Amino acid sequence: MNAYQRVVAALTGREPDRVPVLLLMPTQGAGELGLPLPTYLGDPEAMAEGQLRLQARYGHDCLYAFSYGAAEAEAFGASVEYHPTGSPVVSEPPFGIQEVGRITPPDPHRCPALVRTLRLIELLAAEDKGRLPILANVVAPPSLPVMLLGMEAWLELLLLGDAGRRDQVLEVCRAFTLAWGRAQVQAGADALGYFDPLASPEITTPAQFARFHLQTMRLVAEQVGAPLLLCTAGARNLQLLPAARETGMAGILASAAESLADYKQQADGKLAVAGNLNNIGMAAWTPAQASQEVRSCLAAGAPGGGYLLCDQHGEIPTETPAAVLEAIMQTAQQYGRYPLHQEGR
Amino acid sequence: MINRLRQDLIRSYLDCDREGVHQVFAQAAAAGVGLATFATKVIEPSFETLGELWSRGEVALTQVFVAARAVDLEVAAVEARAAPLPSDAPKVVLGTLIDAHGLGARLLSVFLRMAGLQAVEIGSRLTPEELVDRALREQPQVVAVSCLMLHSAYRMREVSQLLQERAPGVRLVVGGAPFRIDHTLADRVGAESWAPDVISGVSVIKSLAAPRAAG
Repeated sequence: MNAYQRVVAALTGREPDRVPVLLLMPTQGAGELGLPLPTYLGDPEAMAEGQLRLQARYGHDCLYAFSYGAAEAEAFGASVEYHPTGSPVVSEPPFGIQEVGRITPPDPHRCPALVRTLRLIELLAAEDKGRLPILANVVAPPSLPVMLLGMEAWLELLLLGDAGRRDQVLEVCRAFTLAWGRAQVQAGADALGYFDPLASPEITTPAQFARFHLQTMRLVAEQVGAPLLLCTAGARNLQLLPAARETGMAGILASAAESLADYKQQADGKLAVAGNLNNIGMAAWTPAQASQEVRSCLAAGAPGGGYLLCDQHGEIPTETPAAVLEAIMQTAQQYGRYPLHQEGR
Repeated sequence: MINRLRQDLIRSYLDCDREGVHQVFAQAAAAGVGLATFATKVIEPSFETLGELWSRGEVALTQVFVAARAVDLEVAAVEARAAPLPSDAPKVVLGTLIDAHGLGARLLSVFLRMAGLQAVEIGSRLTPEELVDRALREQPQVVAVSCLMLHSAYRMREVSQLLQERAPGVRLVVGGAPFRIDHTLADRVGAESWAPDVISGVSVIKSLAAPRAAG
Protein backbone atom coordinates (compact mmCIF):
# COMPACT_ATOMS: atom_id res chain seq x y z
CA MET A 1 0.00 0.00 0.00
CA ASN A 2 1.50 3.34 -0.99
CA ALA A 3 0.91 6.68 0.72
CA TYR A 4 -1.81 7.70 -1.73
CA GLN A 5 -3.73 4.48 -1.13
CA ARG A 6 -3.16 4.82 2.62
CA VAL A 7 -4.64 8.31 2.72
CA VAL A 8 -7.57 7.39 0.46
CA ALA A 9 -8.36 4.43 2.70
CA ALA A 10 -8.38 6.62 5.81
CA LEU A 11 -10.39 9.38 4.12
CA THR A 12 -13.02 6.84 3.16
CA GLY A 13 -13.31 5.51 6.70
CA ARG A 14 -11.29 2.34 6.30
CA GLU A 15 -8.22 0.89 8.00
CA PRO A 16 -5.08 1.22 5.83
CA ASP A 17 -1.91 -0.73 6.57
CA ARG A 18 -1.06 1.97 9.12
CA VAL A 19 -2.34 5.37 10.19
CA PRO A 20 -1.32 7.92 7.55
CA VAL A 21 0.82 10.80 8.78
CA LEU A 22 0.43 14.25 7.26
CA LEU A 23 3.35 16.50 8.19
CA LEU A 24 2.04 19.78 6.81
CA MET A 25 5.11 21.95 6.37
CA PRO A 26 4.70 24.92 4.04
CA THR A 27 7.89 26.73 5.07
CA GLN A 28 10.40 24.08 6.13
CA GLY A 29 11.48 23.36 2.55
CA ALA A 30 13.28 26.71 2.52
CA GLY A 31 15.59 25.42 5.23
CA GLU A 32 16.11 22.15 3.36
CA LEU A 33 17.27 24.11 0.31
CA GLY A 34 19.13 26.81 2.22
CA LEU A 35 16.94 29.55 0.73
CA PRO A 36 15.47 32.65 2.36
CA LEU A 37 11.73 32.13 2.84
CA PRO A 38 10.63 34.86 0.39
CA THR A 39 12.84 33.33 -2.32
CA TYR A 40 11.48 29.87 -1.61
CA LEU A 41 7.81 30.88 -1.58
CA GLY A 42 8.35 32.88 -4.76
CA ASP A 43 9.65 29.90 -6.72
CA PRO A 44 7.37 26.92 -7.47
CA GLU A 45 10.30 24.77 -8.57
CA ALA A 46 11.98 25.38 -5.22
CA MET A 47 8.77 24.66 -3.31
CA ALA A 48 8.29 21.41 -5.22
CA GLU A 49 11.87 20.38 -4.53
CA GLY A 50 11.39 21.35 -0.88
CA GLN A 51 8.29 19.20 -0.52
CA LEU A 52 9.99 16.22 -2.16
CA ARG A 53 13.06 16.55 0.07
CA LEU A 54 10.93 16.87 3.20
CA GLN A 55 8.97 13.79 2.24
CA ALA A 56 12.15 11.86 1.52
CA ARG A 57 13.61 12.96 4.86
CA TYR A 58 10.65 12.18 7.12
CA GLY A 59 8.75 9.58 5.10
CA HIS A 60 5.31 11.05 5.76
CA ASP A 61 2.31 10.38 3.59
CA CYS A 62 1.64 13.53 1.56
CA LEU A 63 3.01 16.42 -0.42
CA TYR A 64 1.72 19.77 0.78
CA ALA A 65 1.01 22.10 -2.15
CA PHE A 66 0.35 25.12 0.03
CA SER A 67 2.48 28.24 0.10
CA TYR A 68 0.67 30.67 2.45
CA GLY A 69 -2.92 31.67 3.13
CA ALA A 70 -2.45 35.35 2.37
CA ALA A 71 -1.85 34.44 -1.29
CA GLU A 72 -5.63 34.39 -1.73
CA ALA A 73 -5.81 37.98 -0.52
CA GLU A 74 -3.05 38.89 -2.96
CA ALA A 75 -5.39 37.78 -5.74
CA PHE A 76 -7.72 40.56 -4.58
CA GLY A 77 -4.93 43.14 -4.60
CA ALA A 78 -3.54 42.84 -1.07
CA SER A 79 0.17 43.11 -0.43
CA VAL A 80 1.91 40.77 1.98
CA GLU A 81 4.85 41.20 4.31
CA TYR A 82 7.39 38.77 5.69
CA HIS A 83 8.57 38.43 9.26
CA PRO A 84 11.68 36.72 10.58
CA THR A 85 9.80 33.46 11.17
CA GLY A 86 6.65 32.00 9.71
CA SER A 87 4.54 32.57 6.64
CA PRO A 88 3.89 36.02 5.16
CA VAL A 89 0.74 37.85 6.21
CA VAL A 90 -1.49 40.52 4.67
CA SER A 91 0.08 43.95 5.29
CA GLU A 92 -3.18 45.89 5.28
CA PRO A 93 -6.64 44.70 4.28
CA PRO A 94 -7.03 45.87 0.66
CA PHE A 95 -10.59 47.14 1.05
CA GLY A 96 -12.37 49.48 3.41
CA ILE A 97 -15.96 48.81 4.32
CA GLN A 98 -17.12 51.56 1.95
CA GLU A 99 -15.32 49.88 -0.95
CA VAL A 100 -16.97 46.48 -0.87
CA GLY A 101 -19.10 47.39 -3.90
CA ARG A 102 -16.04 47.24 -6.12
CA ILE A 103 -14.79 43.81 -4.99
CA THR A 104 -15.01 41.32 -7.83
CA PRO A 105 -13.85 37.69 -7.92
CA PRO A 106 -10.33 37.59 -9.37
CA ASP A 107 -9.22 34.96 -11.87
CA PRO A 108 -6.80 32.62 -10.03
CA HIS A 109 -4.85 32.15 -13.26
CA ARG A 110 -4.01 35.86 -13.35
CA CYS A 111 -2.62 36.20 -9.83
CA PRO A 112 1.14 35.47 -9.66
CA ALA A 113 0.97 34.07 -6.11
CA LEU A 114 -1.80 31.63 -7.03
CA VAL A 115 -0.18 30.74 -10.36
CA ARG A 116 2.91 29.75 -8.36
CA THR A 117 0.81 27.39 -6.26
CA LEU A 118 -0.81 25.90 -9.37
CA ARG A 119 2.63 25.36 -10.87
CA LEU A 120 3.76 23.75 -7.59
CA ILE A 121 0.82 21.34 -7.79
CA GLU A 122 1.61 20.50 -11.43
CA LEU A 123 5.25 19.82 -10.60
CA LEU A 124 4.34 17.56 -7.68
CA ALA A 125 1.70 15.77 -9.75
CA ALA A 126 4.21 15.17 -12.54
CA GLU A 127 6.58 13.66 -10.03
CA ASP A 128 4.37 11.63 -7.74
CA LYS A 129 0.69 11.60 -8.80
CA GLY A 130 -0.91 8.44 -7.48
CA ARG A 131 2.01 7.59 -5.22
CA LEU A 132 1.83 10.49 -2.77
CA PRO A 133 -1.40 12.45 -2.29
CA ILE A 134 -1.13 16.14 -3.10
CA LEU A 135 -2.92 18.28 -0.53
CA ALA A 136 -3.85 21.92 -1.08
CA ASN A 137 -6.15 24.45 0.58
CA VAL A 138 -8.90 26.99 0.03
CA VAL A 139 -10.13 29.63 2.47
CA ALA A 140 -13.89 29.35 2.98
CA PRO A 141 -15.99 32.20 1.56
CA PRO A 142 -17.32 33.42 4.95
CA SER A 143 -13.78 33.54 6.38
CA LEU A 144 -11.98 35.02 3.37
CA PRO A 145 -13.25 38.60 3.97
CA VAL A 146 -11.26 38.67 7.21
CA MET A 147 -8.17 39.08 5.02
CA LEU A 148 -9.90 41.42 2.57
CA LEU A 149 -11.52 43.83 5.05
CA GLY A 150 -9.96 43.01 8.42
CA MET A 151 -11.68 41.08 11.19
CA GLU A 152 -13.38 44.04 12.83
CA ALA A 153 -14.76 45.51 9.61
CA TRP A 154 -15.97 42.13 8.38
CA LEU A 155 -17.77 41.34 11.64
CA GLU A 156 -19.27 44.83 11.55
CA LEU A 157 -20.62 44.26 8.04
CA LEU A 158 -21.63 40.64 8.64
CA LEU A 159 -23.50 41.26 11.90
CA LEU A 160 -24.51 44.90 11.93
CA GLY A 161 -24.11 46.23 8.40
CA ASP A 162 -26.07 46.45 5.20
CA ALA A 163 -27.38 43.00 4.20
CA GLY A 164 -27.06 43.71 0.48
CA ARG A 165 -23.39 44.63 0.74
CA ARG A 166 -22.74 41.67 3.05
CA ASP A 167 -24.36 39.23 0.61
CA GLN A 168 -22.43 40.75 -2.25
CA VAL A 169 -19.13 40.10 -0.47
CA LEU A 170 -20.16 36.54 0.33
CA GLU A 171 -21.18 35.92 -3.28
CA VAL A 172 -17.89 37.25 -4.64
CA CYS A 173 -15.96 35.06 -2.20
CA ARG A 174 -18.06 31.99 -3.08
CA ALA A 175 -17.31 32.49 -6.79
CA PHE A 176 -13.60 32.94 -6.08
CA THR A 177 -13.29 29.98 -3.70
CA LEU A 178 -14.95 27.65 -6.18
CA ALA A 179 -12.77 28.88 -9.05
CA TRP A 180 -9.61 28.64 -6.95
CA GLY A 181 -10.46 25.21 -5.60
CA ARG A 182 -11.30 23.86 -9.04
CA ALA A 183 -8.11 25.30 -10.52
CA GLN A 184 -6.06 23.47 -7.90
CA VAL A 185 -7.92 20.22 -8.50
CA GLN A 186 -7.44 20.61 -12.24
CA ALA A 187 -3.72 21.17 -11.67
CA GLY A 188 -3.53 17.86 -9.78
CA ALA A 189 -4.52 18.40 -6.13
CA ASP A 190 -6.07 15.25 -4.64
CA ALA A 191 -7.80 16.82 -1.63
CA LEU A 192 -8.32 20.29 -0.24
CA GLY A 193 -8.36 21.71 3.25
CA TYR A 194 -11.43 23.93 3.57
CA PHE A 195 -10.29 26.63 6.00
CA ASP A 196 -13.25 28.20 7.76
CA PRO A 197 -11.98 29.47 11.12
CA LEU A 198 -14.95 31.83 11.50
CA ALA A 199 -17.25 28.79 11.53
CA SER A 200 -15.87 27.66 14.90
CA PRO A 201 -18.41 27.87 17.72
CA GLU A 202 -15.77 29.91 19.54
CA ILE A 203 -16.50 32.65 17.01
CA THR A 204 -19.93 32.04 15.49
CA THR A 205 -23.28 31.09 17.05
CA PRO A 206 -25.14 28.05 15.71
CA ALA A 207 -27.74 30.35 14.13
CA GLN A 208 -25.05 32.40 12.39
CA PHE A 209 -23.32 29.21 11.25
CA ALA A 210 -26.56 27.97 9.72
CA ARG A 211 -27.15 31.34 8.08
CA PHE A 212 -23.71 32.19 6.69
CA HIS A 213 -21.64 29.00 6.51
CA LEU A 214 -23.69 25.85 6.03
CA GLN A 215 -25.02 26.23 2.49
CA THR A 216 -21.70 27.57 1.24
CA MET A 217 -19.93 24.57 2.73
CA ARG A 218 -22.34 22.26 0.92
CA LEU A 219 -21.95 24.15 -2.36
CA VAL A 220 -18.15 23.97 -2.33
CA ALA A 221 -18.16 20.31 -1.23
CA GLU A 222 -20.51 19.42 -4.07
CA GLN A 223 -18.87 21.43 -6.82
CA VAL A 224 -15.14 21.72 -6.19
CA GLY A 225 -14.31 18.26 -7.53
CA ALA A 226 -12.15 16.86 -4.72
CA PRO A 227 -12.59 15.66 -1.13
CA LEU A 228 -12.63 18.48 1.42
CA LEU A 229 -11.30 18.46 4.96
CA LEU A 230 -12.94 21.03 7.25
CA CYS A 231 -10.32 23.05 9.16
CA THR A 232 -10.85 25.86 11.67
CA ALA A 233 -7.17 26.68 12.18
CA GLY A 234 -6.98 25.23 15.67
CA ALA A 235 -10.28 26.61 16.98
CA ARG A 236 -12.81 24.20 18.48
CA ASN A 237 -14.99 22.53 15.89
CA LEU A 238 -16.39 19.28 17.31
CA GLN A 239 -19.81 20.93 17.24
CA LEU A 240 -19.46 21.32 13.44
CA LEU A 241 -18.94 17.62 12.84
CA PRO A 242 -22.59 16.83 12.04
CA ALA A 243 -22.65 19.71 9.54
CA ALA A 244 -19.41 18.49 7.98
CA ARG A 245 -21.00 15.06 7.51
CA GLU A 246 -24.24 16.45 6.21
CA THR A 247 -22.63 18.77 3.67
CA GLY A 248 -20.46 16.09 2.14
CA MET A 249 -17.07 16.91 3.64
CA ALA A 250 -14.66 13.97 3.54
CA GLY A 251 -13.18 14.77 6.93
CA ILE A 252 -12.62 17.19 9.76
CA LEU A 253 -9.39 18.45 11.32
CA ALA A 254 -9.89 18.13 15.08
CA SER A 255 -8.77 20.88 17.44
CA ALA A 256 -6.24 20.02 20.15
CA ALA A 257 -8.58 21.51 22.76
CA GLU A 258 -11.13 18.76 22.20
CA SER A 259 -11.09 15.01 22.57
CA LEU A 260 -10.14 13.01 19.50
CA ALA A 261 -12.18 10.13 20.90
CA ASP A 262 -15.27 12.37 20.87
CA TYR A 263 -14.65 13.22 17.21
CA LYS A 264 -14.28 9.55 16.34
CA GLN A 265 -17.42 8.63 18.22
CA GLN A 266 -19.50 11.31 16.53
CA ALA A 267 -18.01 10.63 13.11
CA ASP A 268 -19.16 7.02 13.48
CA GLY A 269 -17.11 5.91 10.50
CA LYS A 270 -18.96 8.21 8.13
CA LEU A 271 -16.44 11.05 8.20
CA ALA A 272 -12.65 10.89 8.44
CA VAL A 273 -11.03 12.53 11.44
CA ALA A 274 -7.59 14.14 11.32
CA GLY A 275 -5.49 15.76 14.01
CA ASN A 276 -4.96 16.80 16.66
CA LEU A 277 -1.32 17.44 17.60
CA ASN A 278 -0.85 20.91 19.11
CA ASN A 279 1.03 22.80 16.39
CA ILE A 280 1.91 25.72 18.66
CA GLY A 281 3.09 23.53 21.49
CA MET A 282 5.19 21.17 19.39
CA ALA A 283 7.95 23.75 18.87
CA ALA A 284 8.82 23.29 22.56
CA TRP A 285 8.36 19.51 22.74
CA THR A 286 11.16 17.05 23.31
CA PRO A 287 11.17 13.97 21.05
CA ALA A 288 9.91 11.93 24.02
CA GLN A 289 6.98 14.32 24.49
CA ALA A 290 6.23 14.20 20.79
CA SER A 291 6.18 10.43 20.94
CA GLN A 292 3.81 10.49 23.89
CA GLU A 293 1.49 12.95 22.15
CA VAL A 294 1.40 10.75 19.06
CA ARG A 295 0.60 7.67 21.14
CA SER A 296 -2.28 9.52 22.78
CA CYS A 297 -3.63 10.52 19.38
CA LEU A 298 -3.28 6.99 18.05
CA ALA A 299 -5.00 5.51 21.08
CA ALA A 300 -8.00 7.80 20.61
CA GLY A 301 -8.08 8.14 16.82
CA ALA A 302 -6.70 5.02 15.20
CA PRO A 303 -9.13 2.26 16.28
CA GLY A 304 -11.51 1.39 13.48
CA GLY A 305 -9.67 3.37 10.80
CA GLY A 306 -10.86 6.61 9.25
CA TYR A 307 -8.09 8.52 11.01
CA LEU A 308 -5.13 10.59 9.80
CA LEU A 309 -2.44 11.85 12.18
CA CYS A 310 -1.50 15.50 11.71
CA ASP A 311 -1.39 18.81 13.55
CA GLN A 312 -4.59 20.58 14.53
CA HIS A 313 -4.05 23.62 12.30
CA GLY A 314 -2.73 22.49 8.94
CA GLU A 315 0.63 24.18 9.42
CA ILE A 316 3.59 22.99 11.45
CA PRO A 317 5.57 26.04 12.62
CA THR A 318 8.95 26.64 11.02
CA GLU A 319 10.81 26.41 14.30
CA THR A 320 9.58 22.90 15.19
CA PRO A 321 12.73 20.82 15.73
CA ALA A 322 13.48 18.13 13.17
CA ALA A 323 13.94 15.64 16.02
CA VAL A 324 10.31 16.23 17.04
CA LEU A 325 9.08 15.58 13.50
CA GLU A 326 11.20 12.44 13.31
CA ALA A 327 9.77 11.27 16.63
CA ILE A 328 6.23 11.85 15.37
CA MET A 329 6.90 9.79 12.28
CA GLN A 330 8.76 6.99 14.06
CA THR A 331 6.09 6.65 16.72
CA ALA A 332 3.33 6.52 14.13
CA GLN A 333 5.20 3.84 12.21
CA GLN A 334 5.76 1.82 15.37
CA TYR A 335 2.34 2.11 17.00
CA GLY A 336 0.03 3.05 14.15
CA ARG A 337 0.09 -0.21 12.18
CA TYR A 338 -3.13 -2.12 11.63
CA PRO A 339 -4.17 -4.35 13.21
CA LEU A 340 -3.30 -2.19 16.17
CA HIS A 341 -1.16 -3.67 18.94
CA GLN A 342 -2.23 -3.33 22.54
CA GLU A 343 0.30 -0.47 23.03
CA GLY A 344 -1.44 1.56 20.38
CA ARG A 345 -4.85 1.26 21.96
CA MET B 1 -35.76 48.42 37.18
CA ILE B 2 -31.95 47.95 37.29
CA ASN B 3 -32.30 44.16 37.29
CA ARG B 4 -34.64 44.22 34.34
CA LEU B 5 -32.35 46.53 32.37
CA ARG B 6 -29.44 44.21 33.08
CA GLN B 7 -31.38 41.15 31.97
CA ASP B 8 -32.60 42.87 28.82
CA LEU B 9 -29.06 43.94 28.03
CA ILE B 10 -27.72 40.40 28.41
CA ARG B 11 -30.53 39.05 26.24
CA SER B 12 -29.66 41.61 23.56
CA TYR B 13 -26.01 40.54 23.66
CA LEU B 14 -26.92 36.89 23.21
CA ASP B 15 -29.25 37.72 20.33
CA CYS B 16 -26.58 39.95 18.71
CA ASP B 17 -29.32 42.59 18.84
CA ARG B 18 -27.81 46.05 18.37
CA GLU B 19 -31.23 47.70 18.49
CA GLY B 20 -32.06 45.88 21.73
CA VAL B 21 -28.96 47.38 23.37
CA HIS B 22 -30.05 50.81 22.18
CA GLN B 23 -33.49 50.30 23.68
CA VAL B 24 -32.04 49.42 27.09
CA PHE B 25 -29.97 52.62 27.08
CA ALA B 26 -33.05 54.61 26.02
CA GLN B 27 -35.12 53.10 28.83
CA ALA B 28 -32.41 53.93 31.37
CA ALA B 29 -32.22 57.53 30.13
CA ALA B 30 -36.02 57.87 30.25
CA ALA B 31 -35.99 56.58 33.84
CA GLY B 32 -33.32 59.12 34.81
CA VAL B 33 -30.55 56.56 35.49
CA GLY B 34 -27.19 58.39 35.19
CA LEU B 35 -24.33 56.96 33.14
CA ALA B 36 -22.09 56.27 36.15
CA THR B 37 -24.84 54.29 37.89
CA PHE B 38 -25.79 52.57 34.67
CA ALA B 39 -22.14 51.60 34.02
CA THR B 40 -21.57 50.12 37.49
CA LYS B 41 -25.00 48.58 38.12
CA VAL B 42 -25.98 47.42 34.64
CA ILE B 43 -23.16 47.35 32.08
CA GLU B 44 -20.33 46.00 34.21
CA PRO B 45 -22.42 43.19 35.74
CA SER B 46 -23.80 42.37 32.30
CA PHE B 47 -20.27 41.99 30.97
CA GLU B 48 -19.39 39.82 33.98
CA THR B 49 -22.30 37.54 33.10
CA LEU B 50 -21.11 37.46 29.50
CA GLY B 51 -17.67 36.51 30.82
CA GLU B 52 -19.08 33.66 32.88
CA LEU B 53 -20.94 32.35 29.85
CA TRP B 54 -17.79 32.69 27.76
CA SER B 55 -15.72 30.75 30.28
CA ARG B 56 -18.23 27.92 29.98
CA GLY B 57 -18.02 28.04 26.17
CA GLU B 58 -21.63 29.21 25.93
CA VAL B 59 -21.12 32.41 23.95
CA ALA B 60 -19.33 33.09 20.70
CA LEU B 61 -17.00 35.92 19.72
CA THR B 62 -19.74 37.43 17.55
CA GLN B 63 -21.94 37.91 20.63
CA VAL B 64 -19.06 39.51 22.53
CA PHE B 65 -18.32 41.69 19.50
CA VAL B 66 -21.87 42.97 19.17
CA ALA B 67 -22.07 43.56 22.93
CA ALA B 68 -18.89 45.63 23.01
CA ARG B 69 -19.62 47.47 19.78
CA ALA B 70 -23.19 48.38 20.70
CA VAL B 71 -22.33 49.43 24.26
CA ASP B 72 -19.35 51.45 23.03
CA LEU B 73 -21.54 53.36 20.57
CA GLU B 74 -24.23 53.98 23.16
CA VAL B 75 -21.79 55.16 25.83
CA ALA B 76 -20.10 57.47 23.32
CA ALA B 77 -23.49 58.94 22.44
CA VAL B 78 -24.35 59.53 26.11
CA GLU B 79 -20.91 61.00 26.83
CA ALA B 80 -21.35 63.40 23.91
CA ARG B 81 -24.37 64.81 25.71
CA ALA B 82 -23.14 64.64 29.31
CA ALA B 83 -20.01 64.35 31.44
CA PRO B 84 -17.64 61.45 30.58
CA LEU B 85 -16.89 58.66 33.01
CA PRO B 86 -14.38 59.53 35.81
CA SER B 87 -10.78 59.44 34.60
CA ASP B 88 -8.66 59.14 37.77
CA ALA B 89 -8.78 55.36 37.57
CA PRO B 90 -5.76 53.12 36.78
CA LYS B 91 -4.59 53.49 33.21
CA VAL B 92 -4.16 50.61 30.78
CA VAL B 93 -2.56 50.93 27.36
CA LEU B 94 -3.64 48.46 24.68
CA GLY B 95 -1.84 47.64 21.45
CA THR B 96 -1.48 44.89 18.86
CA LEU B 97 2.00 43.62 18.13
CA ILE B 98 2.96 43.26 14.44
CA ASP B 99 -0.45 42.01 13.29
CA ALA B 100 -3.19 44.07 11.66
CA HIS B 101 -5.99 42.30 13.55
CA GLY B 102 -6.60 44.68 16.45
CA LEU B 103 -10.04 43.40 17.35
CA GLY B 104 -9.00 41.86 20.66
CA ALA B 105 -7.46 45.09 21.92
CA ARG B 106 -10.46 47.04 20.65
CA LEU B 107 -12.98 44.88 22.52
CA LEU B 108 -10.87 44.74 25.67
CA SER B 109 -10.67 48.54 25.81
CA VAL B 110 -14.47 48.75 25.85
CA PHE B 111 -14.75 46.19 28.66
CA LEU B 112 -12.03 47.94 30.67
CA ARG B 113 -13.72 51.32 30.36
CA MET B 114 -17.01 49.85 31.48
CA ALA B 115 -15.17 48.32 34.46
CA GLY B 116 -14.03 51.81 35.44
CA LEU B 117 -10.45 51.80 34.15
CA GLN B 118 -8.86 54.23 31.73
CA ALA B 119 -8.12 52.40 28.48
CA VAL B 120 -5.91 53.97 25.82
CA GLU B 121 -5.57 52.23 22.44
CA ILE B 122 -2.24 52.81 20.73
CA GLY B 123 -2.88 50.93 17.49
CA SER B 124 -1.99 47.75 15.64
CA ARG B 125 0.89 46.59 13.43
CA LEU B 126 3.36 47.93 15.99
CA THR B 127 6.95 46.75 16.34
CA PRO B 128 8.09 46.05 19.90
CA GLU B 129 9.97 49.38 19.96
CA GLU B 130 7.01 51.37 18.62
CA LEU B 131 4.66 49.67 21.02
CA VAL B 132 6.77 50.38 24.09
CA ASP B 133 7.50 53.97 22.99
CA ARG B 134 3.82 54.75 22.51
CA ALA B 135 2.78 52.89 25.64
CA LEU B 136 5.18 54.66 27.98
CA ARG B 137 4.14 58.09 26.71
CA GLU B 138 0.80 57.38 28.38
CA GLN B 139 2.40 56.54 31.76
CA PRO B 140 0.20 53.50 32.31
CA GLN B 141 0.08 51.02 35.17
CA VAL B 142 -0.52 48.13 32.76
CA VAL B 143 0.39 47.46 29.14
CA ALA B 144 -1.87 44.94 27.43
CA VAL B 145 -0.57 43.51 24.15
CA SER B 146 -2.37 41.16 21.82
CA CYS B 147 -1.36 39.34 18.66
CA LEU B 148 -2.81 36.81 16.25
CA MET B 149 0.13 35.09 14.59
CA LEU B 150 2.70 32.82 16.23
CA HIS B 151 5.66 34.76 14.86
CA SER B 152 4.24 37.89 16.50
CA ALA B 153 3.81 36.06 19.79
CA TYR B 154 7.50 35.18 19.79
CA ARG B 155 8.34 38.89 19.54
CA MET B 156 6.46 39.52 22.77
CA ARG B 157 9.76 38.68 24.46
CA GLU B 158 11.21 41.93 23.07
CA VAL B 159 8.28 43.91 24.49
CA SER B 160 8.84 42.30 27.86
CA GLN B 161 12.58 43.07 27.81
CA LEU B 162 12.09 46.69 26.72
CA LEU B 163 9.53 47.30 29.44
CA GLN B 164 11.80 45.78 32.07
CA GLU B 165 14.63 48.04 30.97
CA ARG B 166 12.68 51.25 30.62
CA ALA B 167 9.77 51.00 33.06
CA PRO B 168 10.20 48.04 35.41
CA GLY B 169 7.11 48.98 37.44
CA VAL B 170 4.78 48.73 34.49
CA ARG B 171 2.97 45.41 34.28
CA LEU B 172 2.67 43.46 31.00
CA VAL B 173 -0.29 41.26 30.14
CA VAL B 174 -0.52 39.42 26.82
CA GLY B 175 -3.30 37.74 24.90
CA GLY B 176 -4.30 36.35 21.53
CA ALA B 177 -4.83 33.05 19.76
CA PRO B 178 -1.31 31.56 20.15
CA PHE B 179 -1.45 31.96 23.94
CA ARG B 180 -4.84 30.30 24.10
CA ILE B 181 -3.64 27.28 22.14
CA ASP B 182 -0.43 26.81 24.11
CA HIS B 183 -0.70 27.85 27.75
CA THR B 184 3.06 27.65 28.25
CA LEU B 185 3.76 30.21 25.56
CA ALA B 186 3.24 33.34 27.68
CA ASP B 187 5.87 32.12 30.11
CA ARG B 188 8.21 31.17 27.26
CA VAL B 189 8.13 34.70 25.85
CA GLY B 190 8.69 36.30 29.23
CA ALA B 191 5.21 37.75 29.87
CA GLU B 192 4.22 37.92 33.51
CA SER B 193 0.48 37.50 32.88
CA TRP B 194 -1.83 36.44 30.11
CA ALA B 195 -5.55 36.24 29.56
CA PRO B 196 -7.36 33.70 27.39
CA ASP B 197 -10.02 36.18 26.24
CA VAL B 198 -11.03 39.81 26.44
CA ILE B 199 -13.52 39.38 29.27
CA SER B 200 -11.24 37.51 31.63
CA GLY B 201 -8.62 40.05 30.57
CA VAL B 202 -10.52 42.62 32.59
CA SER B 203 -10.08 40.74 35.88
CA VAL B 204 -6.43 39.94 35.10
CA ILE B 205 -5.71 43.60 34.40
CA LYS B 206 -7.67 44.85 37.40
CA SER B 207 -5.63 42.60 39.67
CA LEU B 208 -2.39 43.90 38.13
CA ALA B 209 -3.47 47.52 38.35
CA ALA B 210 -4.89 47.33 41.86
CA PRO B 211 -1.70 47.64 43.98
CA ARG B 212 -0.62 50.73 42.06
CA ALA B 213 -4.09 52.22 42.29
CA ALA B 214 -3.99 51.74 46.05
CA GLY B 215 -0.48 53.15 46.34
